[in-house]
Amino acid sequence: MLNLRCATYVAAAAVVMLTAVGASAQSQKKFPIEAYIEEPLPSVVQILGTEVDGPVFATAQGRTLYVWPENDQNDQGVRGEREGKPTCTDTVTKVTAGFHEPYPPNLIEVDVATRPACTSIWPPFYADADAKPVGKWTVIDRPDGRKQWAYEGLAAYTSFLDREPGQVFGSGKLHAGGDSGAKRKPIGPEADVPAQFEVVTVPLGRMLTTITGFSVYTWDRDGNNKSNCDASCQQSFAPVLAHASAPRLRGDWGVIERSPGVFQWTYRKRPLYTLIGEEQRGSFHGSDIAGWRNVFTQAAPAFPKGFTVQDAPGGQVLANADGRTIYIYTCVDDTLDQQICDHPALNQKYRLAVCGGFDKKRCAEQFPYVTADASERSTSQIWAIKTISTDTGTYVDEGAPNSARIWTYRDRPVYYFFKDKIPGDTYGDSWGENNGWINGFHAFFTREEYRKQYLDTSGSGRR
Amino acid sequence: MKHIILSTQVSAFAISASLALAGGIGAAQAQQVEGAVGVQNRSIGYVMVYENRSIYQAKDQKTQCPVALNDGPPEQFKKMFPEGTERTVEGTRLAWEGELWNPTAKDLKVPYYEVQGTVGRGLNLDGKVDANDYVSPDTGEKGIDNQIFRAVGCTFNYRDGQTSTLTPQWRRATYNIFVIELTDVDSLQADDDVTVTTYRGNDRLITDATGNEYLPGGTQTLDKRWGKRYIQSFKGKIKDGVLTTEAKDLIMPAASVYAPRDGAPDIIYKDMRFQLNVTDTQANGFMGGYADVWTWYYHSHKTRDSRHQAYGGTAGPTLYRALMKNADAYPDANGQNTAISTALDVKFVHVFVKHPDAQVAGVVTRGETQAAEAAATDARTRE
Repeated sequence: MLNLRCATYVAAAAVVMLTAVGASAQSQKKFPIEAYIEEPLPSVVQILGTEVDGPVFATAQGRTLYVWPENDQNDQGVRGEREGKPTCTDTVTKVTAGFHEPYPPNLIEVDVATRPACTSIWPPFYADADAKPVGKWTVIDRPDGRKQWAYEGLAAYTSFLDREPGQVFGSGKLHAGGDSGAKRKPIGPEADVPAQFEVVTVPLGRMLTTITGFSVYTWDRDGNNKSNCDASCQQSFAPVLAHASAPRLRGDWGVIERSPGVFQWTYRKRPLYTLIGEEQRGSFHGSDIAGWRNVFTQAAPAFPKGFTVQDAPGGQVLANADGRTIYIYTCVDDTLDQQICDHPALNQKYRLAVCGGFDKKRCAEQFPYVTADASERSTSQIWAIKTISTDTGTYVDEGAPNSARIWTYRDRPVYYFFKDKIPGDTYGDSWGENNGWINGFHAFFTREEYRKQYLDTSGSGRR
Repeated sequence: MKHIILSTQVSAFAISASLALAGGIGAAQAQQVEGAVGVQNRSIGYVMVYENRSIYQAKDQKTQCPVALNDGPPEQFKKMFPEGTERTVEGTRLAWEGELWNPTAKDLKVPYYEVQGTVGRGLNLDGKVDANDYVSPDTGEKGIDNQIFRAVGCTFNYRDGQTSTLTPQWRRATYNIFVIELTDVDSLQADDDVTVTTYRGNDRLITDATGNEYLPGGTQTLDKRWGKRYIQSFKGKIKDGVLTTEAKDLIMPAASVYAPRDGAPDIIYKDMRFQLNVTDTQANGFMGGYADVWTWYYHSHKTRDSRHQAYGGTAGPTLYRALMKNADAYPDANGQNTAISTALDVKFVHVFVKHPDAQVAGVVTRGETQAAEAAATDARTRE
């Protein structure tokens, strides 16, 4: 499989547009871009590195591209787009679809008079009338007759929230549904890893796993291209074996011969292992053992200075210096265009309903913002400091009356919960509609432990 | 969490299997495993295989709920926001969810029915016989304190509905298994000083071939890291094979299969106590105490949202009012009781309890450096 990919890589390289290569190199200055399989791109598409979502496709102006695949809304109906059939239009949807059971359809949406059209939130990535398909990119017809670029058949959009190259504020890859409620997914090239491996996005970065989803590890006692894991060590950790035909060195990847005819994969010269008996996919269990580490193709930006990680009943959560758990809010509405309702640029009524019963004071008491003092500085895009109006919940200029300087994640405020008293308390988790997934709050888990364990052992097939 | 027990993770089940396969291993050792039922080294473990709220259902429902069972979210929604009127998301759905998550004292103008009658199951928590107490249908004991029964007994979910039928299944899921270990045990028939310690377990339960009956003799590895807060001890005594414990506060992870990421919300029980018939293979009976209304109410909505509550007639806003109205302990500064008497019907089967390896447990708490380590690993592997 690796060899096939190599072939693709070589073939693709011949038709890759110069803009793509140039942009990759350019973006690499800002983010350490993960290796990816190059593929033919339209001249108006480039590949950019991002802080937590890996390489993404972007417009020539640097706006990240997204698709809106069909998604099953809690077994209550499928929304999103089919291949070649864009439905996000300039028409403003004014009523609900009735997919958020137990509520009926045709309820008039919040702030309907000023409600934006789907295309205002997700501007289509239009194609010129004479644009031609390239690789996985095709040109499809929109309902209004205009042309739109599509990737693997799905119409491509930008997000009105992304303003600078590398931003992925529209949605994310962090967990099912993204870390906003958007139901849109950023798109990008495939990670350039051998067929035995894949890369998954976790809060700590882009983590390497086997193709079956189990974490791979390195050992501090190994040397570069040398394994010191003897028979005793191998009772706990198994070398990830490579086929004899695997290339000895390609990019970050290599192969060492452990013993005559027995080959082991290396990544950036470090021999790779799996934890014997591991049942949970994407776990950190191996790195709980001294000297062993999970492997990242790209680490996420550091959490803000002073933030801590605390053990909680469900895993590890992000917290402030005192150990108080930090929460994110996600929201998606019940219209056919599934608009997000979790960003300060949009109406705040969904959030106010669940955080305080529309009572702003109660909301602020129960889910207060995580404030940043004047000396604190952001060092990344994903963790930024913004000024927010405590009256309206919208971003305002610094120094505006009734405002607070707050921490944001993916351009959205983060919060505390008033009932959390000791480190590891997560009493605000799953607060809101649909266990918090369509309008509610979740603790910021840096390591999901118990839920993943359940999902992996229950045979549900979800990860 | 197999990593925690690398050096000791061989379960008793596996030992049995391997001994049977090996054959040549000493017969005495095999016999020791085969005979390992009941109290060993003055201790015995049990895992919960059934948990349900003690809801006594009379043969004739109308004697308990003469008007009707309670409306659920869709029925209440129709009454509060009738069709034919202008219905906005803000004025209907968000108003209703807002009230669910942030209950107020306002009159919702929808009916809510409480259980009628004097027969109910549970424990006499306060040692008194009061006007609101129930009489046990099983033993005739008076003074049964179970006001949650009064509050939710006319709601289908808690009778034959999904909450009632699914809770035992959820409790058995790997997600939040509840284990008790009895220590300092001299006899399961009579012992005036034993200790009961609660834990969260990590291993699957063993069943018979049908998958429906849970068998004694399995192994539970105790979750001493993520479930640290669930390790709680009670002093108790055994008389005529019945274990009773002191009343103490208990934090119990809720049964849930809808997998909220916090591992399931906690329910805080005040003055919780166990009353169990204990044998070598099982422990059945009641757990009873005063449920903290806040954690009890929110656990019910975090584990089952409005959509799922709709399947069995549980409407949050009216439920909250019923819980607060019938709360009978722990008054706040304003005199409002904050806890409500309750009982759980529980069944446990015997398990071999495995305490994780202390050496490995000692190196796992380095979470605060997690992000830095990821970055360091990334940087180091780029060298």
